[in-house]
Amino acid sequence: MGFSARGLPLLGVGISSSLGIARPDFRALRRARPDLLGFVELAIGWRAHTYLPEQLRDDVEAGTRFVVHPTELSLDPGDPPTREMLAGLRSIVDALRSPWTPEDVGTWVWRGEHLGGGFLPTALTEASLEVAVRRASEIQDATGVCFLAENPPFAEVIGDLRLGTFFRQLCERAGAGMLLDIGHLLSYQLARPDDRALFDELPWERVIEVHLAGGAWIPTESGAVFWDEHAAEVPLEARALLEEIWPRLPNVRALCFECEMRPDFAILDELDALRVLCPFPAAS
Amino acid sequence: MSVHDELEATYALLRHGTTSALLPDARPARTRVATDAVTGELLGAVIPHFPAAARVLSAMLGETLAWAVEYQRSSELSSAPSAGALIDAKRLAGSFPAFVRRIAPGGHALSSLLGDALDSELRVLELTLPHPDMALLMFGLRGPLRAGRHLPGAAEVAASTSGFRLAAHATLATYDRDVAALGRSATSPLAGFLSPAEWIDAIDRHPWLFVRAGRYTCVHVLLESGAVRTIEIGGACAEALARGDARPTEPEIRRDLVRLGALSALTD
Repeated sequence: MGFSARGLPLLGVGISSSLGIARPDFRALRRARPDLLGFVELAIGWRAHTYLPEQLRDDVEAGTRFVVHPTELSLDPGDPPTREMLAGLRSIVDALRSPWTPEDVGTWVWRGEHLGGGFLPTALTEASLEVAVRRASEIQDATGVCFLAENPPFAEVIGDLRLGTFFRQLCERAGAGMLLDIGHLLSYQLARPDDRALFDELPWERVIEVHLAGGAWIPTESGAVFWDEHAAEVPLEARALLEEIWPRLPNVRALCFECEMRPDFAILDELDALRVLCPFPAAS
Repeated sequence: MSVHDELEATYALLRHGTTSALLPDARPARTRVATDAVTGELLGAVIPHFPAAARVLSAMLGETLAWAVEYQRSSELSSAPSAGALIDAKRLAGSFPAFVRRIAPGGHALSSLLGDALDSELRVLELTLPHPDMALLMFGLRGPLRAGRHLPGAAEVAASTSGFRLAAHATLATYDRDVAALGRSATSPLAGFLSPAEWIDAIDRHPWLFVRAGRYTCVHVLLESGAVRTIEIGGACAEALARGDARPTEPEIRRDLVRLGALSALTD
């Protein structure tokens, strides 16, 4: 399956959510400002196929757009996704009419244990790249929709490849798109400040979705770490980086404000401001 | 012992810190229960408005809540005008910061943190005084005064070239710490499992409780919901707002003004 941004819908500005978390209440937000909420991105496990389609049927019928973000398909040499997992994901994608599926490139499950938010970012090596290309192709073929490889958050970077090289190769060889996470990109820049080629090498034209979230620089003995924290405020540096990057993205279709655990009232103004500051299309 | 005697003993313990000399047989354990209940009621009024300041103060004063008893007996509280039997937000704002500044040990390593916590929490409280519902009426965010009020939104601010200033229900402030994170950290469920000293240690390193140190310029905004939101802005925008003429011409200023417009915090 080759990559083409043409035909992918324009979703605009949306939010992330996890149905296990009460905040934000996307239904309440949609009722309050139906014009603001372009889509809802759901972080889910494949087993949700047994109940999620039924749970969200009315929302889908009412026009809520969903993006399915799996959180357990490791794109690494560890536990590969099984046929059962991929089939489950396919049912969810079909039922929620998800136009694509993004996932952070790294290890989500290790020896049967789900690592949750503490998943390990991929090593930037040729060997990891080979596996990631194969896995991304498998997921894309299984779901029938475009796969978006998301740059993961880094505290340390392992491997000799540069992030831009890794993702350009991964996207081109797997025929995939990219999800660019602003906070994760900041974390990489902090971990590897000498990568001067980053902005020249990233596959901007393949970026379909962008993530923006809160976070903080936490000082450690070996340098600062950017910790992605969805309940926190978005740092000014992340806002400036988003504004710098936005005009470079000719095919971006969605901007997701990751905001789990934030009170609802602190979300609407963010969406309102982002809609004005990051208009679609981002670049001509 | 009669009920009346019990009350005498409780009053003596609260006001003088001892059981009454007139009631040598007062039962300390039962009296302590009553005392704790009164102190708890007081803390129940203080902590929702000053969560960070209360934690920092406890850490400075040896990990105890003894200051609450002292506040109960303080001249600051007794001289603050009261609208009724229970302590209200106005009385709290008029007495607690002054009390804390008097009893906090000077030159302490946590003095700066306490100052930021106290100042930011007081500013937030002042925006909702004397009561959030009344503040919404006074500032024209709700009720009859709203009709004649124009608060430009995000899109209008972005499209404009004219100058804006902060509306009366928004306050510009600068601190030495990220006070939005400080408030979130102090009220997080995780903080509830930590002693004040453990929490002080965690705000420098723990991912969920971290509070960034360094100059933090922000705007506190009273929202239509009655809540107060604190957002960080850049130095250039802060200077322009302080002059009362912030124009969305420079990218950095524009970015901040649009966010403030989305919060209905500006006026032209």
